[in-house]
Order: sequence, then structure tokens, then C-alpha cells
Amino acid sequence: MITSMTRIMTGIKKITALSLLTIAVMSLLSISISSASEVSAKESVQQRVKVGKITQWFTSNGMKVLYQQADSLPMIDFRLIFDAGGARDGNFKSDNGTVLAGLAKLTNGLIFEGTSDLSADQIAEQFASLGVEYGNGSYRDMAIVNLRTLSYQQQRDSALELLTKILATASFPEEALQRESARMLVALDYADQTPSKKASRLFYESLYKSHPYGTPPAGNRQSLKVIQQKDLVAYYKQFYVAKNVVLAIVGDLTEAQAQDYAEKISTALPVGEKAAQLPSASQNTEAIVIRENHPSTQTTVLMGQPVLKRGDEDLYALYVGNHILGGSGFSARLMKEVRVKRGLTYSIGSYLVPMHAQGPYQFSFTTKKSSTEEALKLVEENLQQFIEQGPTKEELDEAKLNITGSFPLRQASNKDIVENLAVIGFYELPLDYLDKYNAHIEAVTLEQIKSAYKRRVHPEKMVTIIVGPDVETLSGKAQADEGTVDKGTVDKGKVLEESKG
Amino acid sequence: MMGNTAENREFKQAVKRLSSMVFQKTIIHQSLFSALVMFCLIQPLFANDRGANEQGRQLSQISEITLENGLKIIVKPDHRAPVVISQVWYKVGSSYESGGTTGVSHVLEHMMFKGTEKYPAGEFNKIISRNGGEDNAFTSKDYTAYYQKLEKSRLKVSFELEADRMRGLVLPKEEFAKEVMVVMEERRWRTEDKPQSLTYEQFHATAFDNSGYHNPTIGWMDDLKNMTVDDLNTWYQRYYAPNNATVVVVGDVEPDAVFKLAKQYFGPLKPFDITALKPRLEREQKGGKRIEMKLEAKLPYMVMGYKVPVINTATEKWEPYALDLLAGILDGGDSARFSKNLIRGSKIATSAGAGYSMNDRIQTLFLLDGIPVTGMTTAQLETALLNELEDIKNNRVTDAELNRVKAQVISSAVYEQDSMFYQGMKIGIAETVGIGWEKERLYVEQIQAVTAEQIQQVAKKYFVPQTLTVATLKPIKKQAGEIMDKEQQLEQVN
Repeated sequence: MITSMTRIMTGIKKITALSLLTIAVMSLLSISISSASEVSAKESVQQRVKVGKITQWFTSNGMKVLYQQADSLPMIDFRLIFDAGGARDGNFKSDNGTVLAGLAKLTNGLIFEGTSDLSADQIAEQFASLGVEYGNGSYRDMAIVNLRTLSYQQQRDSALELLTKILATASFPEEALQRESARMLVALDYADQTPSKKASRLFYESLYKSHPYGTPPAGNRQSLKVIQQKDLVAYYKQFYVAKNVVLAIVGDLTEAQAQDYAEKISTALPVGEKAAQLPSASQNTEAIVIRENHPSTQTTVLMGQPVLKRGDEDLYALYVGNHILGGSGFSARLMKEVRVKRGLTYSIGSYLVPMHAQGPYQFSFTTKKSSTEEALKLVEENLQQFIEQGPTKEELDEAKLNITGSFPLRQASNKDIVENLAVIGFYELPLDYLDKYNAHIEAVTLEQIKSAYKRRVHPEKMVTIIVGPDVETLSGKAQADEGTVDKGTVDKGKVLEESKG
Repeated sequence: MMGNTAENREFKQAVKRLSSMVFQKTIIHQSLFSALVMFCLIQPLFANDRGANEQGRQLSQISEITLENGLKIIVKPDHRAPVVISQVWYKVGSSYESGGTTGVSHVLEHMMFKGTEKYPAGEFNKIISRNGGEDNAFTSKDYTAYYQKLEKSRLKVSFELEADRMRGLVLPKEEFAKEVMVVMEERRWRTEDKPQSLTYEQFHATAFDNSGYHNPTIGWMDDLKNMTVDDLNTWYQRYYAPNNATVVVVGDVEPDAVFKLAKQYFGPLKPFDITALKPRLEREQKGGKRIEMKLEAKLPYMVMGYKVPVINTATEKWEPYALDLLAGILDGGDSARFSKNLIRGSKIATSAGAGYSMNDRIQTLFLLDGIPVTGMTTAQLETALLNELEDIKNNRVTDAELNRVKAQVISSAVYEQDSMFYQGMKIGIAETVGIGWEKERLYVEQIQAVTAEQIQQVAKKYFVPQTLTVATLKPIKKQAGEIMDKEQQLEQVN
């Protein structure tokens, strides 16, 4: 039942793993860092690099491949990660100038909807007969296509042949486009009746404004009505190409077999070009508070700003710091202060999401209407105190024990491993990233955390989104200043206010 | 969602495939079509060329012992990574509860983290965290379970803490006062502010009159407001004992070593007299039921269900497997009928689902739900769903369809073994609801035996108007004190 909604929200294609993927990707992103310089595809053609259990190479036409053998179970995972997320939507406009928000998601979502000689029904039936699980996902940075098959030759050969054909000759039928844009419009309604989704949309819009991350990947009511088949085809031709994708392969097959499949997939794709680098995202120059009335019993609060880019030198310090402040569940300060000590919330936490450009540092919680001001004040005070004083020695030691001690847990399944490879490959992390991970964590000092928070985290310039009942009656930071209310925006009765300092 | 990321990945994956549960700190959604994804050990049916591992694999075996105090320990080795998952399952959940104290199983689950004499409030989480562990707990209508995921050498940390709180919980009043507020926040977030969840809750309360499945796992808000420490203490004393629990361990461990460790930590616990659970057999439904929820929402929604047997209650043992397969025919992925006919074909549904959980403890529902496309009504969607069922009744499913679903069942049985958590979960549920893990293992075999005729038979037998319950969500908009529904608004506009 609620599956139904999950499906709509996570995209067009219905695979239960999709929303998981988001979570998985997010959680991986939050621990990722890069220091590797970009490897030129040309130089590395056919050159195999093996570090630990991971092998990396480029196919003859420049597709990057990461492979790890895991032969305990008779199955194989393939994951393709295209640099073709919603952040690229801004490059496409309709004839009258509307930015085609949602184009990346629609393109990705229609991949399995037909090829030059196969219908959606035929594709679905062939995969099902093989016992294959397949899916897709579209985010701001990435567009993903994945497939899990049994490793018996008959299954894996047939599954890969079909996947290769689909990737190379997807036809984006007009009928499917009409149906799926209509479903995405319904998904917008769903987001509008769901406080956390409403808040998240407002959050990204306010954080990133005209930056590519400000374009909603799920589209909007204007864009979804004007996106045409030719737009999907153009997007596909530009971004679903060998040089713009990383293929991760994990499972019960040899390296030679993996090479063979990778070569077949990549030669079926055009060589193409790697997508351009995204521009940097800057922080706002002043605080922004947005209130949105919602017919709910709770208030949902989201607060934050753009902070981390992959490869950032402060990443480990900020990651460990955030673990202590709000990232580690019941061990985190925010959870202790707001939930454990006072019973004001069920869920509260903070997250760092390093992306191609500066991803958000985000604080969020929900609470009943009457405790909104108190909870928000607690979050702000704890953040301020943390910036000024940093964590204690004991907190740092405990955090290190937890992070390093849980390291084996994050590579315990083929699914974990393929996700790790995907992130390492996509964000060009060093291949020994995992091997050195614990050493990086151990090296973080109190001073580094304090210094990183002071330099990088600026509550006075954060965006705060407050979605809930009667938000105009709130006091404190949650209070709307008179005279700065603009009720004229869009169709949601949004109350927008920008406060100084 | 908040405050936990990696630790819940695997967890959510497992949960998405299982029935409705409420967690200490996690989000879950009830998943329709929990059906075809069951842990099971199978012999390779595709006996041809293998991949890298040509020697074949010895899939691991399950071992169990029962201690003198009645505690059952079940171990399934999985040596792929130096990790272990330990789960403690109690035979208690919201279907054991009565009016006035609904939600008590779940509140007690929260309070299990609030201290024993040996380890005061906060210590449990701290110790697990320091050991690099992930831990959480979850409650459903049929069970309450606690788990830790740890590096393999630290299993004893889990056993010591779980044994300690199995009999030694303190339940401090001041901790309870705060935690029950947390649970009320959870209810607001999980149910009150989600129109579909609210509809779904009311749907179950309507479908079941006297069965334990009438109550929501999170409990009614008024019961939460009036809950006392005494309610919790009664519940704890009644159900938290070694002879009402099962410990499931999956991971890079040897069964004998686990059994030894279990004896050391759980062995000294005293068993209790367990009060026999009254059957509360749902009375026979004598006619269709229908409710409409008018809620401030943007989207309509409908859910319907027929009363059907489960493994525990089926007099014809094959029936649950036929129902399970039927759910797969209707909603087992993109090639299934709902996707093909209702989303792609007639384009009447934005989403449509079918679900059945044969592992429920008592009589359950075969569920259908969906959201119509813009411009269509829930009534039209309902008709379309019913027509799909009529088609199953009137025309046998094709061999191609049947084989597709069976192929998915076989491969899923392999894929599921990628998750240690899920492997443990399958064992834990089967044990806790009284099916037993041995029977659970026959799942693939039983599914393979189902015929097209049997699918037709269960459809004819159970999809009858007398046992149907339908709930629809009708979105309304509050304007200046008046309530209008969307159709009225449309009329005004037109």
C-alpha cells in the first residue's frame, strides 16, 4: 500500500530497491572523500590497476569499470552510474524557455520502457523469466541502472545481452512519456501532502537557488507538461555514453568474464564525452527562514547550508564532528538533548552529503506544534556550542571506536560492495580508499574538528524550513517578522521571509 | 530517516519485504507483495555452467538447541564477512493486546533501552556503539525483536546485554514519562500526518472486529496518553522470559561456540509460566464493509482486502502458497498484471499493488490497493482491480506467467542470502509465529508445486463479496471553516 507511494516517489520504474538506493547512496556519500586526480581515460585504456580486492580498468572506448569477485553466492550485481543526474536538467529548455526540470529522471525512468524492437511488456517479461532483478534511480549527481542476476551462464549471458541492447537502443516511446510524466505530476501531489518531502523541496530550492542543485529532480508542474520525446532522446544521446559512466561489477564471475561483459556494454554505447564539471555552490549571505503551513499535527524543520564537495580536505574532521553532534543515532548530542532528555521528538539528526559540488549539511527533526520553538532553539544552541567548543576528548574517542569498529559491517554483503565500488568509481576516490579509511578516522584531532566547524559551518547564514500547522503563530527564530512576508509565490501559499543576520 | 543511515540500509531492505512493524527508531513501510521474497535454501535448479566458483557451494546449514530454561538458540553460519548478527525474538506484539492498552508492546520495546540495575539508561546504546555495533529493535502485530550487528568477535557483548534485559529491566517512571512522549511523536509522524497511513489503519480496524489485528501496532493515541508504568511492567513480566523467546544468530560463527556462549549468558535465567494466549478468532464476516476517510490531502487512495487463511490456519495446506503466487501474478514486478494492465495498459492506476503475508500468525487479509490516475476515481480503480480478480477466477493463468513468477521465486531465494539480517529475520518470524524454520525452508518447493488450477480455486473461494472490506481516502480542503471535497470544488470551478 504504502509501497505504492514509495514507488511513485522514488521514480517511475517500480522496483522496491529504489528508495533503498537513495539511502544507500546517501550514506556512502557521507563517508566519501577523494584525493585522486582525474584519470584520463585515454592513457589508461586497457590498463588494469588492482588494489586490495578491487580491480579497475577502462574498456577500449573509455568506459571505467570496477570489479570485485565475490563467489560465495551464485549471483552477480552490475551497476552503471551515469553522470546524468538532475543537476544536468538546467542545460535543457523548452521553446519558450522553461527549464526542463525532471528530464534526467524521466530519461532514466524510461530506459526499460522500450527499444527499437522490444516493447515494455517484452522487456519486463524477459527479465522476469530469467529471474533477474533490475532497476534504476535518478538523483542530483547520478543516474543509475542496475541489474542482479544468477551467475549460471544461461542466465547471466541472456540478462547481459538484454541489458546491453536496452542501454544501446532505448527508444523512449511517446506513450510511456505521457504516462510517466502524468505519474510524476501525481508524485508532486504526494510530495505536497507529505511534510518531509515538502520541506526537502523547499530546502534545496532555497539552498541552491539558480545552482544546478536548485532544480528539482522530480520536476515541477510547468516542466513536466512541456518535456517532449526529443528532449529525452537528446539527453540520452549526450549523457548515456561510454565516457560518462562507471560500471561496477561484483559477484560470482572471473575478471575475464567481467571484462567481456564490460566490453560488450561499452562498445554498444557511443564513446561520447564526460559531462562538464558542475559549478561551485556558494553559501547564502544571510539567514533565510521559510514557513509553510501544512494541515499536520507536527512541525517538520530542516536547517542547513551547502558545505562539502568530494575531495574536500576537511571531510574527515567534519564527518567525525557530525557523528558526535547529530550523525550517530542515540550516541549523538542532538538525539540526547532533544529526544532522550526531553521527549520532544521521535527522529532528529544531522547529515553531511558530499557531492560533485558542495552538498548540504542538513539538520532535521519533527515535533508537535507546541514544542517547535523549544526544539529549534535546542538545535541552534547545540550547534552554536559545538562550533565554539568542539567535542570533548571522550566523545572523540567514543566516535572513533564506533566508526572504525563498525567498518567490517559496511562491506558485509555483495550489495554493500557494489555500492562502495560505485561511489569510489563515480567520485574518483583512490582505490585504496577503504583500506585507508580507518587510519584517516584515527588521525582526526579535536583541534581539526573545531577548526573545520569554525571555518565551514555558519549558522547565521543557514536556511531554515519550517513546515507545519499555524506556522505564522510561532515565536523565536520560528517567528515571522511583519512586513517581510511574501504570500504571492506559487500555488502553495508559501510564506517566505528573509531575515537579516 | 533521521539519525541513522548505514545501519538501516539492510534493515530496511528486509523490512520492505515483510509485514507492518513499528520500530524504535526506524522508518518502515508495509510492503505489499512480501510474498515471493522469502529466505530459503535451495538446490540449484539451473544445473549448468557456473561462474567463477566451479566447485559449487555448500550452502550453510541451520543448527538449533533449546536451553533448559526453554530459550531456543538458532544459528546459521554465513562466512562471507567477519560480521555477526544477533536477534532476540519475543512472542508478543500488538495482536496480543487488548483495548485500553494498545501499543504497550511497542512502548515496552522503547523502554527496553532505558536501563537495568546493572546497566542504567543510556548504557546499552553506549556499549554497542563503542563496540562498533549497530543496534535497533522492532515491533509488529506478531512479534517484538531486538538486534545487534557486530564484528564477529563481539557477539558476547550482545549476549550479555540481551540476557541482562530479558529479566532485569527497571522501568524508571521518569524515563517512561519522556519515552511515551517520544512514542506519541512517533505516532504523529508515522500515522496522524500521513493520510494514507491513517486510512490504512482505519481499514484494518474496520476489517477486523474482535481479532488482535484490529489494533494498530503503534497503539491508539488515547491509549498512549493514558498508559502507565504498571501497564508496561505487567506486560514485561508476562512475556519477557527465556521460554517465550528465540535467539537467532547469523554470521561468521560456529554453532557450537555460539551455543556455549548462549549457555553462559542466557542459561542462568529463570523460566516463567507463560499465560496461554486466547485465540480471539475473528468472527465470520457476514457482508462487505466500506468506509470513507475524508482527510486534508492532495491524492485519493483506496485499499481493499479479503479474509484469507495463513500457513498457521489453513486447512488445505497448499492454499497459502497458491495465494502467495497469485499475489506475484498480480504484482510481482513490471511483468505482472497490475503493472501491465492497469499502469501501462488501461492507464487507470498511478500505482496498484497486491499483497499477502502467509507468515502472519492468524487469519489475515489479501490486500489490493492503489491510487487512480488524475481524472479517474477510486471507484473506477476499484472496479478495475475487481475485474482483474474476476479474470483470474474465470480464466486460468497462463503457463508463461506461472513460470515467470516461479523463476523469480527461485532467484529471490538466492538473492536474499546476500543479507544476513534478512536471513535471520526469516528464521525469527517463522519461529515466533509458530511455523518453525524447518517448514519455512520448504517454501520454494511448495511454491513450485502450485498449479494454475489451484490459483483459480483460491481466487474463487476467497475473493467473495461477503468478506471484502474497502476503504477510500477522499481528499478535502478546509477553507474558511468549511469543508469541501474535491468534486465540489470542481463543480464550482466548472
